Amino acid sequence: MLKLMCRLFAGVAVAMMVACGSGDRTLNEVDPDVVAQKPSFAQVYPIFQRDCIPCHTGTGGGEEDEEDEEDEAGKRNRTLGVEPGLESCAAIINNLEDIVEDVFIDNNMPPGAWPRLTTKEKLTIERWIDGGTQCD
Amino acid sequence: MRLTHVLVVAATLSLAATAQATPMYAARSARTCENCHVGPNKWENPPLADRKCNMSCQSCHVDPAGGGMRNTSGRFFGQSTLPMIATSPRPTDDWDRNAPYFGRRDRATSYDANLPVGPNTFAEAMEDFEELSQEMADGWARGTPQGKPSAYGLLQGRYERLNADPVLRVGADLRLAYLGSLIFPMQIDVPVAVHPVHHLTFLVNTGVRGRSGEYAETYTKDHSFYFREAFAMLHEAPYQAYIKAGRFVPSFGLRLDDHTSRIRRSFELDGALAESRVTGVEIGAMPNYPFLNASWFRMASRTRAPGDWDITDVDDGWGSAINAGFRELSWSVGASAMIRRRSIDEGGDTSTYGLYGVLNPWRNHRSLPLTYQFEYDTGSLQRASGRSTDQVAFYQEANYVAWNGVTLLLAHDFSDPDTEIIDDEEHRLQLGLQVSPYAGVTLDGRFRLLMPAVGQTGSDLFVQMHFYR
Ligand code: HEC
Repeated sequence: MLKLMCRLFAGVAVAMMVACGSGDRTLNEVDPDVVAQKPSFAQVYPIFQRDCIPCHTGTGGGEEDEEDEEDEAGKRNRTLGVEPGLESCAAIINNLEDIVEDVFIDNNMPPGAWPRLTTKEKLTIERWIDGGTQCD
Repeated sequence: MRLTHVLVVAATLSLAATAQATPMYAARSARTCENCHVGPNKWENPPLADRKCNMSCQSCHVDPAGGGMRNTSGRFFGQSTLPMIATSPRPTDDWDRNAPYFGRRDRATSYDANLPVGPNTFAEAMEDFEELSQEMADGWARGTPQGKPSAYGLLQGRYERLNADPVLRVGADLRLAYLGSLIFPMQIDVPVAVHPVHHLTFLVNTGVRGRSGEYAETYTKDHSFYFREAFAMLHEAPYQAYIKAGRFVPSFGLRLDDHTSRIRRSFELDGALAESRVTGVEIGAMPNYPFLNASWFRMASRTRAPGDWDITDVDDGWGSAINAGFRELSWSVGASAMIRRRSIDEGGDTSTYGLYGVLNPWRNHRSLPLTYQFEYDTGSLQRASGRSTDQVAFYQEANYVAWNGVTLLLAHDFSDPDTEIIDDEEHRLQLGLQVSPYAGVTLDGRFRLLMPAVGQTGSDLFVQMHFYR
């Protein structure tokens, strides 16, 4: 009923100010075939490349990294407060815990008012992680 | 410099241009005639078929579906009404709407009874044609097509000293954005309109390629130039009818300048992206005040940008869009529909329906410089698996023109990209200030708040400079 009301009143400003979302299942439940069951890194990397690497250049940063493993871009970003660098599979795996927290729990990356990852992109990353984070 | 480059890429990618919502200009222009042209001495209403004055996009833009290069009436509006300092005569109603302590500053405005007047009738415009043509002083528009103009074209003398009906007009449009501590170019457009004979215009708009906002698979760092628009058009016909053929963005809903808005981006109407361009035919008419635009087109796959210069580069799918409604002086309503038919590989089928409207109480209440617009879109799309689902997007915006050239803005976006999926909705709020000190310069600053259905709310400050000619 709420769903119906939301759609009926969608044109009305006030109704739209309250969250009027619809749907009660995850993409994984609704349409499991929408992404590969075991995505390769080649399918995951473009998501990082498009939505993360513009800011997270380099391959360094993050807690598990040694300082001297950081490349130039990584260092520059560190001074700007944008870390970790996510330009390689190893760097992504190194920072997986933080990535999972930011993308799946806090849903705050990309930050600010940048659009967040789509459900399809999230499902791709999720399955890649479940599949054992293969780099090739 | 790599970071700069990367931020350019980043900004173009996701949250690029958010400038003035231009349908708002149309909505609020009707409160006085002198917004769009100098007034005649006495007014004779021409027959309906000859009327050029309406609230539709073609009143101010070369492309009758709106956006991009302005025609002479649009240029006049941009000089007389939009800025803090006008360079065409300011409408009488706005003489004392300048910012506090700013005073009457327009050198182009006489502030007395000696206001410039245009020709009263078409016949009079023809009589004085030579004389009026000689008074032109317009560096950005050249020549006049051979032969006498028709009653359907823009008339010399009505736009003060601007060339009403030039053979060649070259424009420019540059947007710079400020994000973090960097200033970078975000959009560059060079539109050229050639009007060799009456009733025929070629418009070619070359711009820098934006980036796909939807499909990770299309990632490229490409920022090459390409034809954003390239079409030939037959126009200057009764009821402002036209037909155009070539590359364009289909006419659907409110053609917002803020292409990141969900009502544009979710339906492949993002004006910054090469992927939004289609190749086809569009017809339309605007018999003051109803309007209709209808198009049939072919397009490249959703995941593929069409060739930079080859406007015939399309894949197998096709689409069609219709946009119609009624634009009165203080309000308007419109409805749009668009279908795209193509294989899953090319992006799948979509059917989209939209309803929109504008309210401009300013026209009837001079002390209330407020304008409001909204659009609600819903429709079906196919996921990559082939299964169909629905999506919804909503946009609303209010503008308050505090003083000449100073506008406060409040905007709200909502999107539900897949109505079967839980927690994929998102609201976005924007509170903005737009200042136009001079014709062709706008500074736009916005505080933006993104509220996803799950997780944290994000915010940022996005500042943009817009220069145009
Ligand atoms: C617009 C630039 C930008 C984009 C795009 C961006 N980030 Fe960030 N990211 C930042 C900044 C700035 C910080 C540091 C400040 C903060 O934590 O908010 C950061 C911090 C992080 C951190 C470390 C925070 C922590 O928990 O310790 C992770 C992990 C992260 N981002 C992951 C991502 C992922 C994954 C993406 C792509 C989905 C992404 N970021 C996209 C700017 C960005």
